[in-house]
Amino acid sequence: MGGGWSTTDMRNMLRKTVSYVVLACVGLFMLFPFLWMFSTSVKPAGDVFKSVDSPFKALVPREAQWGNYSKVYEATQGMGGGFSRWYLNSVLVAVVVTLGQVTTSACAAYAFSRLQFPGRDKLFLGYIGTMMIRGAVTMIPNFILMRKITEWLTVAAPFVNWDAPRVVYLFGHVYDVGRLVGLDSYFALIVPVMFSAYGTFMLRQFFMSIPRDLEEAATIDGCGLFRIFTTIILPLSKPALATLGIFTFLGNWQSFYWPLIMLTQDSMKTLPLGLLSFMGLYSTQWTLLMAGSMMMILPMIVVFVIGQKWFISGIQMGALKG
Amino acid sequence: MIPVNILGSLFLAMVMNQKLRGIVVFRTIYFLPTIVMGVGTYLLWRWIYNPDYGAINSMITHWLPRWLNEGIRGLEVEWPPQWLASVLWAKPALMFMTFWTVVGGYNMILFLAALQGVSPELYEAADIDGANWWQKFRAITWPLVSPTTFFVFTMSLIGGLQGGFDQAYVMTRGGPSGSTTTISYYIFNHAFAWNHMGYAAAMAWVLFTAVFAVTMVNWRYGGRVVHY
Repeated sequence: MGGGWSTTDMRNMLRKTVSYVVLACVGLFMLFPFLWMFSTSVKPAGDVFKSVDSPFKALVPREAQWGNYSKVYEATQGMGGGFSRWYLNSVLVAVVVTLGQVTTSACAAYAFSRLQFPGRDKLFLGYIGTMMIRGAVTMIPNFILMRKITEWLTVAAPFVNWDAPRVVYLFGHVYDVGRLVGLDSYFALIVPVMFSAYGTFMLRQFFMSIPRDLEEAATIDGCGLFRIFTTIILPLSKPALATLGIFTFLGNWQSFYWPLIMLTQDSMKTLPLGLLSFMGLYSTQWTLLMAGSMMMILPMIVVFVIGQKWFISGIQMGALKG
Repeated sequence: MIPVNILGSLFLAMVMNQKLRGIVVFRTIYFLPTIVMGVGTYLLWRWIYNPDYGAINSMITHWLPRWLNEGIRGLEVEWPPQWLASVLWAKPALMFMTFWTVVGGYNMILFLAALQGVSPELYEAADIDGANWWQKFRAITWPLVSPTTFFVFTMSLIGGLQGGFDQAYVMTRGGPSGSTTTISYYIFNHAFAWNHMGYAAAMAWVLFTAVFAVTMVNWRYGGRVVHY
């Protein structure tokens, strides 16, 4: 800025400053609840019920009680293994569902985009059409299916006790792992949500955009369909696969309605449900509740911050589909 | 509430649609509530709305000047509000929470993409003609993002029609006096609390029909209800 400030420069400066101030205020508004959550989670239990007379005292704890976090584990120990078990359940379910959805969607999308078979496009249209039928409609039939499935399997295969809850012995401990299928089973939490019409649609769009020249060359070299899928299509589709994976993981980690109607046993619960039953018992222990909530949302923040590039482009891709 | 949320998102997107440093940081922060929305944040907001020790009421009682608090109480309004426990305030409380959750989320990202597609030449031409901020918004920005606005609006409507179960279940149990009961929570109660499976399934189909109608409107007119 050698030759003094022109009015346009001044106006630009002013506009930028105002923009930053607005952005920072909104940012503070967005972050404040999280700060409040964090500061509550490390306060001594009694301090949250003391009235505050300054903003600083409200947000900055008198002393940091990191012990609140381990207290969450201790306090829930009696509830079917408690917080650590819920965490394990959540991780297990979210990871398996994510891998499952990405795998099944990729295979289906490959078939719908590359294989030639009669009725393929009608079948695809039908599959995509299931997206129109919302979760609210299929929830009740799915529930009844899961409730009855043990009865049906008992008729079909009487030599297995389908109704009995199972246990696993591991390192000298006994762990409840619920039924094989039906209510209170990992099967119910994982299998019904392992397939995604949306994921298939999205990946098919992506696969269609991959030029076929590479595959033709590979076919000449004697590659089969499966080799082409694993060595050409999948490596080229990493961004799309990552997008789908992140969407699925984040969605499943928060999943509430379906586990709520599938589960009754404490030991089978995922984090959202576990946190809720924890609240039922310790409704005024806000320091512990906030510590539990912090631990629940941290993995999502990490996944989002790492994967946000794919996530944002995924949203924009989804909007184009209209 | 949907229009307010959408206008908020559009406003944020417009502020962000500039060559500023650190925009990604802001975008990440704004998106966080959408990402973590769930039982964790519902518990958090229950705590924020706690009538005695929550963040909001602490601020109201300690930071607002005494004469203002007395004045409002003098109007025979419930003050400070009992929030989730109050028939009057429970719904606004949930709406405010929803605003916090969605304003920087998907809609803002979509608006941002739409704004980045608007050719800067249009604004330059308008500058030469001496248009002010509002005229530029009215004549260029609003018409050019109108397809996105329409899409976002119908999507929010679809979401709003079937949503709200988790909040209702975790935060208010549909109360007080049913003031925060959504359709999905009502269906849940009939199906799984009172075991009226058939009735609940029928309601789910009615809900589906309504959502389907909105979706059809979106498809048919989505390309047409635009201002250019």
